[in-house]
Amino acid sequence: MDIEDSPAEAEFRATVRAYISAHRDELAPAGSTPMGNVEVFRRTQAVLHDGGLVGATWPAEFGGRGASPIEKVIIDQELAAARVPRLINWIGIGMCGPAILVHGTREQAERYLRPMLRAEEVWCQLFSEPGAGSDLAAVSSRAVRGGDGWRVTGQKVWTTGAQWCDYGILLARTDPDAPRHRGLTMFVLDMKAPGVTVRPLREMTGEALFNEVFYDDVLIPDSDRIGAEGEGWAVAITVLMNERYTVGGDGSVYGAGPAAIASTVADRLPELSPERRAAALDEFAACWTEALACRMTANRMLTALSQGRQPGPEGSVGKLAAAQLLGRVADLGLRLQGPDALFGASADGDRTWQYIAAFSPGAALAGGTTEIMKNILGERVLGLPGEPRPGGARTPAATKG
Amino acid sequence: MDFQLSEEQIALQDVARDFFAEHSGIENARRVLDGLEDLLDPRAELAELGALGLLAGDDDAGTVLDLAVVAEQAGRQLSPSPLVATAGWAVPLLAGLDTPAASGLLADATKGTVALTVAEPGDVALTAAGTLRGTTQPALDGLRGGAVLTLASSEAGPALVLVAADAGQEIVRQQPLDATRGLARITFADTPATVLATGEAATARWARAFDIATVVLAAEDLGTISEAVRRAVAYALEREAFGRPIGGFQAIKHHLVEAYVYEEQLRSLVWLAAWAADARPGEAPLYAAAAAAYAAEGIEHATYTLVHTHGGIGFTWEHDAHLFWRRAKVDRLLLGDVHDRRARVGELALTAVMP
Repeated sequence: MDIEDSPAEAEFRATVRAYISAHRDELAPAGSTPMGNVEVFRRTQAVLHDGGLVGATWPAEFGGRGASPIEKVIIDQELAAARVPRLINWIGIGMCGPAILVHGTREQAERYLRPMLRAEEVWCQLFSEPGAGSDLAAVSSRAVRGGDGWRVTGQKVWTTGAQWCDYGILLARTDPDAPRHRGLTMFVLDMKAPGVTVRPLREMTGEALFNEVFYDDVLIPDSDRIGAEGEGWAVAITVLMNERYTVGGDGSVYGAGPAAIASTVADRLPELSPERRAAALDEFAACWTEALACRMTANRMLTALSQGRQPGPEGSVGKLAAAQLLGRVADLGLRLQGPDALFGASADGDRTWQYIAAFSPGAALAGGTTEIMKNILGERVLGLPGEPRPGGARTPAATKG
Repeated sequence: MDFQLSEEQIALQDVARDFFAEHSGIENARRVLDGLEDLLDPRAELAELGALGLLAGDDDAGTVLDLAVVAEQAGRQLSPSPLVATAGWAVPLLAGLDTPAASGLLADATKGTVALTVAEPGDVALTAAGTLRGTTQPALDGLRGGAVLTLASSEAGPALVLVAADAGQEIVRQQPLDATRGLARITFADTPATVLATGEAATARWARAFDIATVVLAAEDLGTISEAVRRAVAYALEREAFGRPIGGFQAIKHHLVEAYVYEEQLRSLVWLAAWAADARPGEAPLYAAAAAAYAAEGIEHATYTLVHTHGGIGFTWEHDAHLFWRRAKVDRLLLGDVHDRRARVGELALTAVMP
């Protein structure tokens, strides 16, 4: 056992660090978001791709470099350490790209993956509908064969980043008479196509990252179908498994990582009474311990992946624990603001923890709610009986496959 | 990055699993509570397995992680084993001490020929005459009547002292909450003792051994949690209500998953803490405290879930569930409670870089 970098890993890390450091000025500033900075974020991703730091695990022929899962993690760690904000195309890289790699045609991979890696084309995920959330197989968007392709009509919701996206992967019903998991097909939707309307939705943070997406009789060529007709559920599972892997972690990606909370605690401790100091340290320690456990559980998954083994249930364990952790860290950070916790921002205008606190309920919903993750673990790992489900489909596999 | 057990450790785990299945403490625990039996002592068999001397510092000795692997399997069967008090605490306290008393005791301890206890000192003081006065905290394996190691106060600062088994100390018997830990306070009244180390040497040695014992205790708790989850899941699959196995209801299923998440997260923390005890001594105290704090919470949650999942039958004396619950109620307070452990994590983590 060893959690240190191997010599090869250490060398790789040094290369990555050197590249980020040499190009830091060209990258989006720490703490910024794509909101109002879309071009900066597209350029950031292109610069990172030039250095081989985006989609590193993808095959070289499609713009990746065939890197190992460990190397991908090293890249992520170094980007986090340099406080580079999350990629504008993280959903494309994390979820849409893997779906195309696994289920798409060679032509699709050649057409879409490279521009995706460089954020020349930004992608979103068109899954949830007003009537299909946790029960994703209830999707009712309709795709009907017509001419050279398909005509799609319907509505999606909670679509992150749709306002700046060029493409999305769209789950739609192609056979309303088939059992519900069998009648679905996955498509690429051109977000700029006639008949597509994007309407932003404001979240409880005050920002509008989410959108409603409407499409009314929009033409999708058959060459933009991902996987076979009726196989959309299998493609969706690939995406969801990658999403759960992408959204897991220790809170760092939301700005609420162990270093951030440690520095807030250290700043505020001297202002607290001894009793409150003890209480704050106790809660900080509980959060730090959980974050450490999340990292080490991820290390177990990485070790398995790096040796070509299928990881165990660690992926789902990590997502579940991380969502609960984020809420706890966010609340500690907020409470430590003292009387300023009564306001939406501190007297000097800082709203870091207010924002994270308002964001944290979303982490327990995105990529499978906490309750859905518990069902998956209970059924696929502990072997407990399934929930009643129309059509008798099983829950998705617990691990990223 | 290589965060997994080695092939040798997996083989050791299998051997230990079989060993403790054969030397289970579960039935004995109930009979000791009922006053029908004495506490089992698997000391000799464990010594034969090589488990007691893993940290003795010999050339062929093992690692803290090896010991943790064995301890997890002991915890699964609520074994009244000397793994925490002897293998994880007394042995690292004695290893490398260059006195005849210490090296003789170390050899006997690893051979399983003597009982040993390590006691948190309470108000124990070393007199100018070289004898001990005072009463220890409740000590693991204290009821076994063996030699005692403790950290006494003295005019020259803390002193690591050894009291022979037959030196005249009094073992204070109390009704057990969990019989398997053999807990008892020990009272000294001008009891002869041998000083093994004093001052900084004594406190440094004590602190390192304490951290190792903490990790071994957390590893035993990991096994107890794992077995509690396994038993609760098995019952939830078998027991039907409203025409379905109760494990199919989210109300039950989600409790079981929460216990399982504790198990897997704790496994990660125990591995890290055990590995660091050998490989990263500077960070070991932080990871040991983190694993122990997490273990204290996890074992309470998992064993309560075990009782609750079983419904009324789980609340009976005849059922084993309360024996797991008893282990949890005691273990969560040994070597510091969850708040003591978190106080340490909080203090150390403020300036630490998470690996």
